[in-house]
Amino acid sequence: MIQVTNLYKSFGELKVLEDISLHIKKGEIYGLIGRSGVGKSTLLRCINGLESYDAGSMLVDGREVKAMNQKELLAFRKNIGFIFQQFSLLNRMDVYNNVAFPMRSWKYDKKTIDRKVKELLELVGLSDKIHARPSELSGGQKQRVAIARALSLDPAILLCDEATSSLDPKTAYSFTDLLDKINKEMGITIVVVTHQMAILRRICQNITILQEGKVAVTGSVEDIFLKQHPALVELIGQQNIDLSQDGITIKVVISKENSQTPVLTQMVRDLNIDFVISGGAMEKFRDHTMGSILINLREQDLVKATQYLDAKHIPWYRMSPQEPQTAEVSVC
Amino acid sequence: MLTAEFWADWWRNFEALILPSIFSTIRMTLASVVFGIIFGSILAFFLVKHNPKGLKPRPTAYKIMSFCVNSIRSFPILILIVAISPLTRIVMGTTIGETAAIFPLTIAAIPFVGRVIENALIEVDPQLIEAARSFGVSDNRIIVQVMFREALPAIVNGCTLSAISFLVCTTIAGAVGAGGLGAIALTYGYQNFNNSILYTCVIIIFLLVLLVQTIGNIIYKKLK
Repeated sequence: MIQVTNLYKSFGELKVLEDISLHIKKGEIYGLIGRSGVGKSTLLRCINGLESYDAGSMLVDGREVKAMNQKELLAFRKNIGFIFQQFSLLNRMDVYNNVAFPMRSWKYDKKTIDRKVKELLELVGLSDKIHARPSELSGGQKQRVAIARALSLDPAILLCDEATSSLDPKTAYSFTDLLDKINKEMGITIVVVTHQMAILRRICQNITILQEGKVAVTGSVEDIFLKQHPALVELIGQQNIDLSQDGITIKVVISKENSQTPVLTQMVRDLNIDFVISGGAMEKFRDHTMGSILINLREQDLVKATQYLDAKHIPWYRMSPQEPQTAEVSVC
Repeated sequence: MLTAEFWADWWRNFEALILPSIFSTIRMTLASVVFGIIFGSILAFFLVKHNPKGLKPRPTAYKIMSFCVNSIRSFPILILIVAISPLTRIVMGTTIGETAAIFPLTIAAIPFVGRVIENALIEVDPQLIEAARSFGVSDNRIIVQVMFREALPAIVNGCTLSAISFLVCTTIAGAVGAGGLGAIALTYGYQNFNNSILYTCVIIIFLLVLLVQTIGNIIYKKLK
């Protein structure tokens, strides 16, 4: 659906995007993540032509975005919804007119507009606020209006630029649930840009981590989490855990496949070793739970234990105590 | 001093001179402001559209427009009226009186109101414009339906400011044959040493300013 190949973009001297290549499949929820200012929003704006690019190719539905003329571009954008961090609602119009605005611009007839507005507000659960002004709504409600507006032209793709960043965690989750529902029910391809790892983990199938305008890693969410890719670690930081100076601490990853088997207790019985559990976290993903447990072993047990884990295909990582603990932990 | 004779005299002057000139002043102000708003809006539309950071940047066109706006605005109104009087004669057929004054006043009002509206439009949240672009709304529609609409309260404020400014300008224009309250205050009041006429005009102009500001405030509140 969206095929990006060797994309370059700079603002004057500043290189914003360098050699970006990625592929977004039809009907999936795709995540672009990175720290502020790594160019993820710019990349998103290249998809619908709000920003142009210097070199490379951006194929959306097989069409090169840069090659379109003004008129084609307008018709093309009609097919792509966009949701912004700051909601971007017209303050002097009520909810109804905000949702109707794109359809009016495209000269839909009155009856269709009326029907669609009511349908969409029903979908986002704001039927009772139809004549409210944006100033009377909460952040979460405003973002729902923005979704209804973005869906009003029946887009094939929905782009979300930090759409949850100004919402509190609970509201953000109900927002992602809504995105999930839209994705599953309408089959709309969704591209989510965020710096909140928890949001991605909840809804995305595949993600790309951007670092300084380059693709650091791309792959399925679970894969990237499972392998604890350095870009991911750099992004979410190490959780602040006091690693014991004695013995060796390893991180055992609990994945979809092994989360139902009592791996660690079996290992204790089979190998007759002891360890200290020094930390752990469970994370909820789109349809399952994944997590990690930190265990502290005596040095002489390390080889035995890791061989055991390898034999059972359980991923593990050795934690080094000297690793910097500059953790900018995102909302997890 | 405030004898019956004084008041009789005052009333005669008021009826014969001041009252008609009030309407004359209002007509001149209204005409210049209405034309100013109409043509100023069109000017602001193009200024915003072709601004180097606008929807369709055309730096050269913008510079030319901006230069014209600044040049006309740099003329004090009194000088402008005198300076363009040959042009006024061609367009309006005369250089004296209320009708003649409307032309230079409108010429002065267009860039003034244009700038005021442009400033109001620039203040519109750029994200709203980006949002509209993302729905595939055309540039012209964005300016009219998003920018003008969102900036309407600020535009009304600017127009109130302009109306007051041009109310004052009409009285200045009175010095060079425009008629209206300014002319009465100067010729019959100041030059004739008739303080009652002079200060009556002053008070009426003050009341008119107050009236315009109040109307402006009411509309602003309604729109906000």
